[in-house]
Amino acid sequence: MPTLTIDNRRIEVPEGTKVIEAAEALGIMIPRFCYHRALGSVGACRVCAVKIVDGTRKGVQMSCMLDVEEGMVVSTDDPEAVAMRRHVIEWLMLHHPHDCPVCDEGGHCLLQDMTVSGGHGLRRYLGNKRTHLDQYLGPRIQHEMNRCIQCYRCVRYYREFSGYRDLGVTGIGNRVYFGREREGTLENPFSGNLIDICPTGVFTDKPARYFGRRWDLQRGPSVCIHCSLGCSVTVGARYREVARVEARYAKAVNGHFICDRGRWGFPYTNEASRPRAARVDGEATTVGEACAAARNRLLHVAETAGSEAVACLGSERAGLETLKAVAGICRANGWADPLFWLERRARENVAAAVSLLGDDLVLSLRELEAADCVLVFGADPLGEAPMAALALRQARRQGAPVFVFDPRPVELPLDFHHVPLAIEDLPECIRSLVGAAGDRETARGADPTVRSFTDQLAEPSVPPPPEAVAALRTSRRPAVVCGTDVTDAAAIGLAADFAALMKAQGRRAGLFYLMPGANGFGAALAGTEAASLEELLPRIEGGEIRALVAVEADPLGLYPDRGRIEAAMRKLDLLVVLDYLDTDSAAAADVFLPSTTVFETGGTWINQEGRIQIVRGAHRGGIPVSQTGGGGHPPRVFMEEVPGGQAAASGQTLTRLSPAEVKGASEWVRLPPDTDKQSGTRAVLPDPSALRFAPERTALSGAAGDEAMLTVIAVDRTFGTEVLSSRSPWLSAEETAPTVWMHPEEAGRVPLSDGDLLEIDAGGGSLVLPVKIVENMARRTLVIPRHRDAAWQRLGATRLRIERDCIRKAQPVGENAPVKESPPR
Amino acid sequence: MMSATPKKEYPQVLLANRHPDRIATLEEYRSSGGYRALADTLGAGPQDSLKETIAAAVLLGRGGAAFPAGVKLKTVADDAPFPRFLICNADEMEPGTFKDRVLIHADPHQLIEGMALTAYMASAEKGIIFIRPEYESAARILEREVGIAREAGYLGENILDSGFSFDIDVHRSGGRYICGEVTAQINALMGKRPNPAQPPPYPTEKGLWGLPTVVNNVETLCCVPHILRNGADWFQSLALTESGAGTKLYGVSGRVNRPGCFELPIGIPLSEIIEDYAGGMRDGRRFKACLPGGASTGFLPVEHYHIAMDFDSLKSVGNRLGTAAIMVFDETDCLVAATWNLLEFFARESCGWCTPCREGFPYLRDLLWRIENGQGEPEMIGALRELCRDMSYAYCAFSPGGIAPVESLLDLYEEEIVAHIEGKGCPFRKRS
Amino acid sequence: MNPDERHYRKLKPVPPQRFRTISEIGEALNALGQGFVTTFRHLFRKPITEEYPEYKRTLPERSRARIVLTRDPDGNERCVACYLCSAACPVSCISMQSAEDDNGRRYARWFRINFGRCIYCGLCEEACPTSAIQLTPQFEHVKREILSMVYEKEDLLVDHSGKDKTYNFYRWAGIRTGDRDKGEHEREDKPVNVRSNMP
Repeated sequence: MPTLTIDNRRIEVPEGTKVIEAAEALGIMIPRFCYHRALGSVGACRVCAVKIVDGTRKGVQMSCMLDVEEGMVVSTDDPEAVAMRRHVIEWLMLHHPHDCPVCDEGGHCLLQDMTVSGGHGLRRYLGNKRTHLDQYLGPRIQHEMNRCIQCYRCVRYYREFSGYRDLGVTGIGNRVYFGREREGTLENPFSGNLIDICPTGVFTDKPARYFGRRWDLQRGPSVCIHCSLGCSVTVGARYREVARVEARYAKAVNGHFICDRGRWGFPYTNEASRPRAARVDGEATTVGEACAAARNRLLHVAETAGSEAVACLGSERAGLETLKAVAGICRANGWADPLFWLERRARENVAAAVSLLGDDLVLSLRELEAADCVLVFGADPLGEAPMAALALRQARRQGAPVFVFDPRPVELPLDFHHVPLAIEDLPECIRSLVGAAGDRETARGADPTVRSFTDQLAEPSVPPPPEAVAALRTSRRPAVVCGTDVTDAAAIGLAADFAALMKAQGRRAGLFYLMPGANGFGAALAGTEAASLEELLPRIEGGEIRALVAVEADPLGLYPDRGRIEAAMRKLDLLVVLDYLDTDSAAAADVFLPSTTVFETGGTWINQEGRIQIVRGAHRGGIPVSQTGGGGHPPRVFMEEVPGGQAAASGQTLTRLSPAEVKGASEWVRLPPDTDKQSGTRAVLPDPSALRFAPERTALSGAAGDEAMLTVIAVDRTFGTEVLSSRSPWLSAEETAPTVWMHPEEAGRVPLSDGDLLEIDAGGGSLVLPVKIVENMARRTLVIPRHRDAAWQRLGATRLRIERDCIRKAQPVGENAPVKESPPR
Repeated sequence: MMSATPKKEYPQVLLANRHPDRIATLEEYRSSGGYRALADTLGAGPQDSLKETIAAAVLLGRGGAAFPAGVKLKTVADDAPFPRFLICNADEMEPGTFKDRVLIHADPHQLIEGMALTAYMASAEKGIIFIRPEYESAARILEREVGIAREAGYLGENILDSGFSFDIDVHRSGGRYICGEVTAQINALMGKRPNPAQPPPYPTEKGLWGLPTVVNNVETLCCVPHILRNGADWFQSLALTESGAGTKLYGVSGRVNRPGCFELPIGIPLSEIIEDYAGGMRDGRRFKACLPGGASTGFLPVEHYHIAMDFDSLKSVGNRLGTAAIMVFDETDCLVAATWNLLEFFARESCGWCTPCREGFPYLRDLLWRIENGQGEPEMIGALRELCRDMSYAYCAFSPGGIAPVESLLDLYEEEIVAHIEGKGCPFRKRS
Repeated sequence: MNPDERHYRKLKPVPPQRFRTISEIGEALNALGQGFVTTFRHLFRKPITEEYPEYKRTLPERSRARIVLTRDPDGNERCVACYLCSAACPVSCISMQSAEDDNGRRYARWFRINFGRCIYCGLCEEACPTSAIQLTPQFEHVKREILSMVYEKEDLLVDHSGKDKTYNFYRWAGIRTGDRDKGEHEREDKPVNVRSNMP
């Protein structure tokens, strides 16, 4: 660990640290433009000049390019270095336009900061300024090329870090241009990070354009709740409206970046259609009256039909406080067991994942980047948890081979091996890999459970891909990524067994599950004894359950059998809904109570690796001033109460509905005593050892070889399917109508061409969708996105088997696809 | 001004087979001793002793940087990975330089043999001639002659039954001066933007596609067969100075009667080149200054008119031999205008990667234009000095080269700049 | 004689003890008398008091009172709603919302100054980069009803250029607006043609 002296202060840093990082550790921020921790040092801008007084290379050097040496002496305020930095600022300002007042970056502009602190004031250059034409880059990113200082951060990020090719640099000298070959929306689903990394205002947030200055915003740290990764974000709000979301640095999770779904998924909190008033039987009323009405009616149902006739349903998007309240109210009142999931398969999958993860194997998103071989089972990272795809790319850039075993047409911004197997074949595939890559000799020396597991493994009917086996054999840090959306408990369990086996072989293996929703992990911890709505539905249909309280859940809009759930809801005597979205369930509720969002009250979310992240709200909430003012100036009134501000946190409101006192629901979630409130700590994971290497997973499951059957899966896509972000007008601005994906062989059997309409008779009804034929997907499989325009609720389940004669070509009618039916009440 | 004594005839080594209107054919090259070095060397001695010969011959790179070719070859480690590459840098875009074109049009097989020998010393199996697209005729000549050499067995698999395989591709650049910079050239060959890359690692360790790559100038490669055939001592003896070695192609242009490319021993006095070989100063005018090695070198004033043109003596007066492209100015030439002209080139050719070069050269050009055209202010001299000082901290050698004429203008001809500023115009323009 | 002595000699001699009271009384009467005489003299002089509101003096142009939002010489609103005045204001009396019109020109969709809070310091005028917000000498706008002291943009916008008759920010800003395209602003070159290799 070399020790060096910077400005007469000594510091010891690890080998390989750059001088600029060592200075930062001392609190000395050497000016920089092109240097970025995630993008590395390239030495382009030359503004980080320092004077090396003693070292191998003396004189004025660039601190971002120089590794520290033992005994190095650095001076940042040497007159030569200061003169050089001043000069670089002057050079960068030669052509910079005079537009700070109308530039959105003003107030958080690195160029402004460096220019002012460098003392640059007047432009003495007498030549003209070079100008550029701008391009339309989509509805989310604004392009203003005059401001560019050619730091090359954008193209380094876009092309090298995130792996997309449509943004690049053209030209030479001071005429270089950063843009697309032709105008058009940027294809990169992580393109929003350009806004954060550009040190000037070339790329700015278009939806937040001209909203306000950053110093006026109420800003606070928060966590993104659009997938299970739980990336850190910073929220900026003003005048009761969330203006923008930016990436916040989280060393262990997302690093410096977030995906576009997380950046622009927030409009649900500002929507004019967001329900702000409580309603009883459709009439608006105060929250107090609605709570009283709900409490009385729930009490009535409990008294007449028994306390078990009331059920309470939470969801995987709700914070832990809400889930605690759901569990607590059910327990305190003797209601039916709390429900957190709609489908049984989802509950089983997440429960399996959480119980099998284990402290010995769990990986954070950043640790996934350090893997030297990655196997992805039953997951579509870009569709389900986009930042995981970016992490896989970083692993690939370091040379790690990536293998994806999934039926969907998986796309990733890296070169990877895709094995498009049918989802039912996944457990056998994992077993075959375990068998082939498992070194029997080392396994013999291991635990008897491991030994008997590897001994009992059934012979696979198809050998595993040789490249995967070869890569695994030589890997030191293999990582297993497994999805819980389209898979089943067998595959999830085998993924854990696989990782554990590699660990037993002496490798630093890791396990990484993708989970549904932002708080799937929390819901699994909260509801270990709970069932799912699917399992409870017969009791609703049979009349045993008479009342349902849905908290931040939308059974009508999200249960995969629309007809059945509508009929069941009609049977209920009482439906109480607490939510912040205008869902179908909210519209059908007898009593509706408005809730606040994460931006208003914060909460606790547990991400897919068990990281507990507690965040506060950024602003008070209420109807945005832009809406109360009708777009003009705010109303000229003195007012104490906040318009539309009656909503409270759903957990709090829920406890007001409880006839009995809800107390002490915290025992069942083990939070470590020193949970850091800001950056999150990993929860103590349940001990998985009893559940791993289960003998029932050694046998072959029923293979999908039956040619007469097709598997239909309803899946998550990057944009358009996630409940909250699918409401964002900027993410859906360029949505195309949803299609069903089919393999050319399947299409040929019907027969169908690309764009033809396919009619599917499924468990919950019939649906018609246009077909898209893709090569890189599994045979005997239909993939449908869970998009609001895709009528996927007619399928009956999110994963089902249908007979081949249930699909046929449909004739085009007046419109493309039938729209979802409206709610019953 | 013609000298009284008759000019000396120096031995022609590189241009021995030069014809005025065509290349030297394979047969002509062979009959003058060509490909004998290849035949003798391949499979005969160990490569280390060959590298020693080149090092002992003090063959300095003729592309402008003057890096010893022997040292460069020795940096290719014995256990370095394969395949290895040899790139011939025929991107000749240094203003005033045309010697490589002359060499290719004179004796292309000399270059081919030089490449084959150098590749053998580095154990490279793939050779690439990176040639500027404006040299289309030279490129076609090379493609044809490479094919002829291959058919004759001097290129391809198992050359002359030695077990050594080597072949050459001719690659036309997309254009632009910066492609002549070694690391930028390697980037260009890989399909990337030709921005330079700062070592470490050096190209001989990790170059093209991350593999060991040796890059040499055309003239440097052409010297190799002669050195290996006749020995290091012979090569050293050709020079006129103690520290110099070999002959050099001096390309003279500017205010001389007979501009052209002359092969002369290293260390020949500048005055001899101009008076005896280039026909003397034009129109009977007096020598004022010259750029001794292309646009990236500073002005050499009349005080050094008799300087020995070799690498060391020019370095000792703060200048560089560079590519030995001598651009001669006479007493009627305005050096401010000349410098502005050179900076116009550098401003356009800056690759745009680092700030000092990308913004500094247009700034210098603007200041010099204003000085030349009557808009000069006294503060501009200080601004020029500041610019030169800080532009030396740029990313690659383009910037220090480009500011060399400006620095020499400020050091040696400041009174000329002052005359422009005070006279609100170019004094030379009024005269002629 | 040393300088100290010289100094003390110049001072009035202190009279002996028994005469001190008399001289003090004399001095007091003298001072009173002088005061009366001065007042008496002023009785017959013309007063310099200006009788407001019968007489309203023209204040200097730089007097800091009522705030206006001016227009540039071409008649367009100068205010680009950059929030600098709002940030500079020490009493937070300025608020606004910026927006973009169809021509790409940034302007204030609404602009509000609470004159009940305003202390007329002029920091907003100093901060404004477009010479939009200016303080004028007009001070007779105070009312009792506090909400009527909250001025909106329509109350503030005037149709002249105020104290700066020439500055038009959009001539220099480099932004594409309805009047000027890229390359048509002051001291700008025409936009780079990215599809050409010509310099």
